[in-house]
Amino acid sequence: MKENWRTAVHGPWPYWVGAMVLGGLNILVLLVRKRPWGVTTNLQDWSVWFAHLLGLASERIPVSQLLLAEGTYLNLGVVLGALWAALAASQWRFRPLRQRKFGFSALIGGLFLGYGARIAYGCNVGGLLNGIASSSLTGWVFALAVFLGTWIGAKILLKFLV
Amino acid sequence: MEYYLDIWGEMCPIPIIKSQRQLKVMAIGDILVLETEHSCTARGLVVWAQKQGYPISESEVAAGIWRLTITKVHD
Repeated sequence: MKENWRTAVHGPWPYWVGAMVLGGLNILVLLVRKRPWGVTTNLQDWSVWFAHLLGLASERIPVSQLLLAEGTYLNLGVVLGALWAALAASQWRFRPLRQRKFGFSALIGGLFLGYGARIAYGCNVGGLLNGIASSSLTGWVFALAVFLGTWIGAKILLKFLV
Repeated sequence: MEYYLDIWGEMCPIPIIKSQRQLKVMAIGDILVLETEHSCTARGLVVWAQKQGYPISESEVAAGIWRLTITKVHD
């Protein structure tokens, strides 16, 4: 009993437990929100707000609208939940960058991820996971592209990052 | 012989590929010690080593830092 409790807080959870919890929570989001879970649409709205602030975008999204958006709290929940889990397991620590090349790869990867997610109208959560879950053809096309992209990415990784 | 591999700040699959390469040049009975500050890297290495049939021990030496010891028992 005590051992189970320790694993629940400290991890690692078996993959199937994590998958079932995620699946259950995803259904809950759909039931409450009446829309599937997505991540990047809200991030895009915040980016538009920030770009307007810098004078880079003419489109304007008021902060009041962003603060009332469910997506804002879903995304905050993801970050705060991860922080909580790391703190509860006493695994939180400041991890400085060890090698410069990983900084570059993170920056380039982030840019591609963000750009790709927005021109595809969704990331792997809204586009792939919930695309397939809601029987949309988009999800399957997305899955095919993910496999292709990962294959190319693996080649790049082996060449430059190992 | 004992070997040490620095995999701090590296995410899977990089540490696994590095371990594969290191194990290849080691003799049977040699020990490979790895240290990481990434929980998923530690987890991934444990699962990988077990699948390969290499005995592996994992200990959290400080909050959020793991030390892994792999014994090369076969080629």
